[in-house]
Amino acid sequence: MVCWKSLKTKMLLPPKTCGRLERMRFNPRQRLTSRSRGDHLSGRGGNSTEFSDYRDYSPGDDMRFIDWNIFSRLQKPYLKLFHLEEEMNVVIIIDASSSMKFGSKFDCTCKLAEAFTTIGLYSNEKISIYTINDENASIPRHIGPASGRFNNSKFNRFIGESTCGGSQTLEDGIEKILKKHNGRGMAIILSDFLTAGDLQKSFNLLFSKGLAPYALQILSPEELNPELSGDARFVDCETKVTLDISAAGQLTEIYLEYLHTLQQNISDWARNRSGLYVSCSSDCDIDALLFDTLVRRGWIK
Amino acid sequence: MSFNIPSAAWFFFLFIPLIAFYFLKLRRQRVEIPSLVLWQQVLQDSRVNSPFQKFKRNLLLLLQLLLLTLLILAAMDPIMNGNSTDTKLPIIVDCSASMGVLEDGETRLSKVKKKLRDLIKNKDSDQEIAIVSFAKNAQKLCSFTNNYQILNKAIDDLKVVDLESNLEAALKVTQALTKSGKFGEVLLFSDGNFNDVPTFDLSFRLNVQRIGNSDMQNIGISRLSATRAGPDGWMVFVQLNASENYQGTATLEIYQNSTKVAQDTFTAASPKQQRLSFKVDGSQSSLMKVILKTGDEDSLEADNTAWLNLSMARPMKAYVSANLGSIRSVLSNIPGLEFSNDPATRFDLAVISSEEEQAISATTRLSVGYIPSDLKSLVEKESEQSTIIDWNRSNELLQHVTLDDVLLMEFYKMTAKNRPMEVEKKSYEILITGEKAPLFLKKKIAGQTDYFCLFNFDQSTIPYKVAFPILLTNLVNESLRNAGLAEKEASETGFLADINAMENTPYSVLLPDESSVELISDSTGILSGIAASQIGEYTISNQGKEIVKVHASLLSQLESSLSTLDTINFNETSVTATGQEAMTDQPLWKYLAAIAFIFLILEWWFYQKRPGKILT
Repeated sequence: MVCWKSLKTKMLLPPKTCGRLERMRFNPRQRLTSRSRGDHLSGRGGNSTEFSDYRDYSPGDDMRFIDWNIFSRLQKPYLKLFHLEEEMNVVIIIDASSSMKFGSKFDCTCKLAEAFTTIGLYSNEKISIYTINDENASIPRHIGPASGRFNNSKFNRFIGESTCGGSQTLEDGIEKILKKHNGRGMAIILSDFLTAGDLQKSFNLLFSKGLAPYALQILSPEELNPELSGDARFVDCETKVTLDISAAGQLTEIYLEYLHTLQQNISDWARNRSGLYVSCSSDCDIDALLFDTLVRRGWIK
Repeated sequence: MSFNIPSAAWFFFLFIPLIAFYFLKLRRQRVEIPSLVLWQQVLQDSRVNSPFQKFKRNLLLLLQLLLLTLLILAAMDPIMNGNSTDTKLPIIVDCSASMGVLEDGETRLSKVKKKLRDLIKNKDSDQEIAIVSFAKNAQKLCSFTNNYQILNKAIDDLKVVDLESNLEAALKVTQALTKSGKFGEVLLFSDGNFNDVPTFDLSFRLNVQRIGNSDMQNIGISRLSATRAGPDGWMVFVQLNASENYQGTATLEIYQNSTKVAQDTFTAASPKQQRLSFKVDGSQSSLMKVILKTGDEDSLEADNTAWLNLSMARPMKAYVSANLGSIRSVLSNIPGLEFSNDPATRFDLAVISSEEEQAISATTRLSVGYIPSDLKSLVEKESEQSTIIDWNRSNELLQHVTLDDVLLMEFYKMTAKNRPMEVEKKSYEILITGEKAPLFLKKKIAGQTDYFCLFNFDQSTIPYKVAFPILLTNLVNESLRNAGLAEKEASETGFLADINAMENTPYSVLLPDESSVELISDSTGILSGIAASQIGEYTISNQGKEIVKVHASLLSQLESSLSTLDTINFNETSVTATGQEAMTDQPLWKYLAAIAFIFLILEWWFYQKRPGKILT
């Protein structure tokens, strides 16, 4: 007997938000779908209920697709064509490395992952979630791919059980994910993107696998507007490498310039690969981000 | 520049631990951050690695080194050496009346005192200073010493006196200090209100420190006198002196025994020196008080009041011995004389011919034809002819008197081995000298002036000379002056005029500032040497009984004019006053400490202007 109480998962998002999310769909910039049947129209013709066009009958064509109403009026057979509906894979990549511990970035990431999962499952997309944290794991911890709203609680439980910590880099994680994952669609990367590796290469790998990179950068307020002064010894929380900074207050402006450059680069890399980029603060209003920013930026509709 | 504590330079070794600690970064705060990616890029930025930014990165170390350097230098007690490098420095301070001028709420002397205190505070510990104050006279307040207590006490003793300045006296006292030690430079603090000293040979460098503004305005009474005006009146003369730039209006009020008798006004348009005259009643002895009421523009208060004692205007009482017909004949032709033979009367002039008549009391007495009893052992008379050899032409009695070719029927000579000097030892002043002995003598005893003519006029050719009436006229004038019947002059500050009193008697003098001094009259009954450094009333009393009241006034044209001398002319040289302050050894430690403190604040502000936030 199933213990429903134990299956009941604590939702990170309020019910009202979830209710609104259920009525929303992803809005990919390019049709990147798998051949499996789904809810997304393919460029190719198919046998869905969605009318596409007419063409002249050729010998050998399936007689079932002749439009008999036109034949009765014109005495000439025309074949009725339909769209092909394919499924779209939505890969949600959660950066759960140590750097995401700062400034409630990981909490924000989990909420957004839950929101995207809800959108995907309710719009019958094929959802899979990967969490990047353990560099020793051959395949990052993941769930899916799966579709159907009945999987929502399972996915939410997976998100709720995700922990933050570890030193796996985003590039390494994406590389390992792509070894496991099949299917075209969109890859939503929830990360701070503060990595020393080559993000462009990771985006290329994703795109070559048919996944349009949708980068959502989550930064803490301290990272967006650092308030530092005097001399300090910075310690990287993942690599434990130290860096001595003198007169840090004087370097803030240069830091912000480099942060802006990084954001611009990620945005360009994502756009060039049919993806999109949005940056947000970890303490931002989730509802505003989901129902305003992402809608206006064309992520969801 | 030199250092008082050079051994503090050992503290420079503190640089080693400072630099070591800095580079060991013991004070760096460990801050864990999500990623070093951006910060590494920031540090690789060319702007951060520019020379200036590299300098800024070590600015903390540089500031700390600078701070430590300043503190060590301050601990070494650096001193900026002043102009005067002599180990001995005499300082002359002008304390005359003009130093009491108020400028910005304080007197010029107060400013000098402040400068002196600073100078003494900052002097080298080995440097010895002597202080000489001067006004009409100079006074050494302290000999060369480096004792701060003594020097401060000497400065405390400096006070303004109502006297005019006499620089020569101060220079002479200062020159006498060379006996205590050699010095090359002398500092003179004065407002420049003094006269040249053309006769003084300056043997040292005089550094004149000018105090006060030269544009101060003043008006004052510079002279007060009176002459007889008719049988029962006095003509009072008041001389006012104003500074060149005086622009105010002053009112002169004259009081006779506290009753206002006259008033006049002095305006800026008037000449800077003006003589005013007022006729007052002389039927009684009276005290004249002259007050100059001025506005705010007047700087000096001491010269606004003067006093003058006037005696009763009356004819001069004269007595002439019956056997001196020639003299009586001449004197009877002089107006204003009232002859009397009453021996009980106090005469203003008595001409006697014998020792028996010496009992007659007179202010001025001429004894003719006999040798005073105290000179009989020194001078003797012979019946031979003699002539007059010499006479004191500058004496008031012998002015315009020519005694050439006078023949005497008597011959006076000194007794065995005695010389005319012996006569002088008996308090006589020799006015006319004969061939072998003095012939005419003067002696002042207890306010009485005695003239002794040893020879008899009738036994000489003098009555036939024009000198005879001149001599007697001079005698009458001298008698009038001695009796105070002809003219009166107000007493100036300095020393009071001699006062007739009882012999060898102690007297108490109550000064204007309510303090008192004790004095003893001399054997002749004269009370002399009463210092009057303040204007006002001096009351002389004996055992609580008031004897007489005298008054002293400033009456100095020099002080009232507030004139300043930019260049003092000495014999063969001149010295120009400077407005530049005397440079003494200046300790610099406090400035260095202040700069160090500013650096500390700057360092704190530079690095802590935004509160640091630790990422968690």
